[in-house]
Amino acid sequence: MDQRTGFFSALQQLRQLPLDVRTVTLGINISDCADRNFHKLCDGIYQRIVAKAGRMNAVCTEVASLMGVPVLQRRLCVTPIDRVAQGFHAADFVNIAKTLDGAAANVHAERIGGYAADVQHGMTHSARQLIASLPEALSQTERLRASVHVGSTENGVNMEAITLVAETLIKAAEASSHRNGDAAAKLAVLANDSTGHPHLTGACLGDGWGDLVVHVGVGAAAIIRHALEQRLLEQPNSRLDELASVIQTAVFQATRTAELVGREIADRLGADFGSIDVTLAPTHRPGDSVVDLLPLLGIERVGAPGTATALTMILSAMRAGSAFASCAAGAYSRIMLSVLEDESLAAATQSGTLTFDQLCLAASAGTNGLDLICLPGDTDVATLSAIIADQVSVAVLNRRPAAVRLILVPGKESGEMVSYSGMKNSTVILPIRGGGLSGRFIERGGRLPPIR
Amino acid sequence: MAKLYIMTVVAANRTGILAALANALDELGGNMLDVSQVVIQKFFAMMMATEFPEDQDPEVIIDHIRAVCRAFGAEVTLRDPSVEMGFDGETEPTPKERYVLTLSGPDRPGILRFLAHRLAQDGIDLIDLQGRLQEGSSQLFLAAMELSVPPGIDALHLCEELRNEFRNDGITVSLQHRRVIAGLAHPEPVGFNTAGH
Repeated sequence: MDQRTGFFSALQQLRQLPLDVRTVTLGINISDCADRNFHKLCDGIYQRIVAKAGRMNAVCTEVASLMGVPVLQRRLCVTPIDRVAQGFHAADFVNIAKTLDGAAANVHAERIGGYAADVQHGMTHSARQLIASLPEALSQTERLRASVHVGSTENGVNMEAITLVAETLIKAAEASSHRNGDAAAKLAVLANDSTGHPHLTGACLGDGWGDLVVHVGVGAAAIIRHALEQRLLEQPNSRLDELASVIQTAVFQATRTAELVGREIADRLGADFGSIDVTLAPTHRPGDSVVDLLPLLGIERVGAPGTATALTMILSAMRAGSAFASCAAGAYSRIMLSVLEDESLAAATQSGTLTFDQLCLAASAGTNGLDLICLPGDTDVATLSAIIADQVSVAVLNRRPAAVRLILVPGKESGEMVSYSGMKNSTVILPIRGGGLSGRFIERGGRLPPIR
Repeated sequence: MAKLYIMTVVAANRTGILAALANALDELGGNMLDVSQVVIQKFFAMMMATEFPEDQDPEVIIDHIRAVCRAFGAEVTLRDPSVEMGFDGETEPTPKERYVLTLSGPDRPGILRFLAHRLAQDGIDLIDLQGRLQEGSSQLFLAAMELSVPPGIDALHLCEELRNEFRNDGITVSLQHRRVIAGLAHPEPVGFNTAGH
């Protein structure tokens, strides 16, 4: 091995790092667009988004070219709509959804979040109407992402809201049955998101941020894989603590780069720089998945015993690396097992090595709930509610945020293949064991008290 | 009044060369303003911007240094920057971005030639270049260069183009902004170090 020190050897280590920024999310405050006049409201929201985000796409491209670091996705998020639009009916909410969708299309943002309701304790009229509008709103828009916040550690969990969202999910899937229920994939059930964690799916601009804020998301899988491969090439018998330091260093590098890029973009847009989210989320490139890291560590396939230990090790090293790299690094690095967006995971469901139970269990080892998992179309409301409630309560107990995105594929049964436009992977509809056995529990309704 | 010269000294690299050179400069009343030294394969080379008293004859400077450094077989050249014209950057004082380009892989003739032509096409100035064969192998090389790039050049695109050009030779290419390199090489937070503006 080359033992030279100094600038030259530093370069040697830095070369060929797969550095990129997975997401740039521009948060826009639209609270002051609130108006009892529907047309003024929609017009205000549209104009505000176009005014603030009009240059986002160009600026991201400019900075990516300048820094030599690609920016893969550009997103928007706005103040939760249930607070901005008060006193309207579901039909009006659908039009607000279309307004947001159109504004996002205008500024070339791939997603817009903020079509959100907070129902931890109870529901305002607006929140109820917003939830009622979801099936239509989501099936008739493309870029809109919605979320419903159902509970948190401090406030407990609103079980009735979960049931209402489960019903909505089924209706959303039916409303888009000609596209295999893809509208349901755009609705996330959130927990422990009181401050508006900007990187959860369907995130809104939470309280306590400024008028305009840039958040960046880092997908660490590629750079971790690269670093591990390099290390194992030189030292095939590395111990786990050595590999943990390798992961830590790689995440440091990814976080640093993202901060540089994010701050430059924020500067040019006249926005505040918000937070950096380091996540093991898949990208469109093959091999960019946490599942591909496990074989490097010595676990031959995802789901085998030891998976939880390996995930825990990766996650803790990631947090250490990102915390040292930047004070803006978010506290919630997490692993996303997004089945539909993750080639390796999708393949694992197809070959039958990955089951729904294993995905549920992974939530206790640092994953972030259930993400983009296809379930049989005939799943009943109570079972669906119970699945969501389980994920929410695990998150609430562990004091971490959770996001659940489930797709009930209309008219299809477990074992059938589904694919979606816009997502290149096909996946198998996973069977649920013990479905239909929790009806009485869910029917009781009420609330789960705060966790003491 | 002092007069500025650009001077190079090439000599055999043995202990004492720098001491001898410093003696000579001192005796001539010279003062180094900017200097860079490198040792390549047992040879010592130094390039410097040095001030000498205005009445000092250039011939005398060269002869004196040669005489003092005779034991090392020193070659000395001296140039007067005030009579040379047409430097880069004089006519276009635009701000430029700094990048570090690294190449590594099997050695073959013509790599530098292609690279230099390609960079010159875009008006990119090569301001630092280091390259060597990797230890223990005479076939693998590693080269790192610092580029001063005029505004409007797409670094992602340039890097992709170079990668495609060299892919068939098995040469890997990376192009990183100086600020990224600085951000990764220094432990201080971004903004506290050179990675910021």
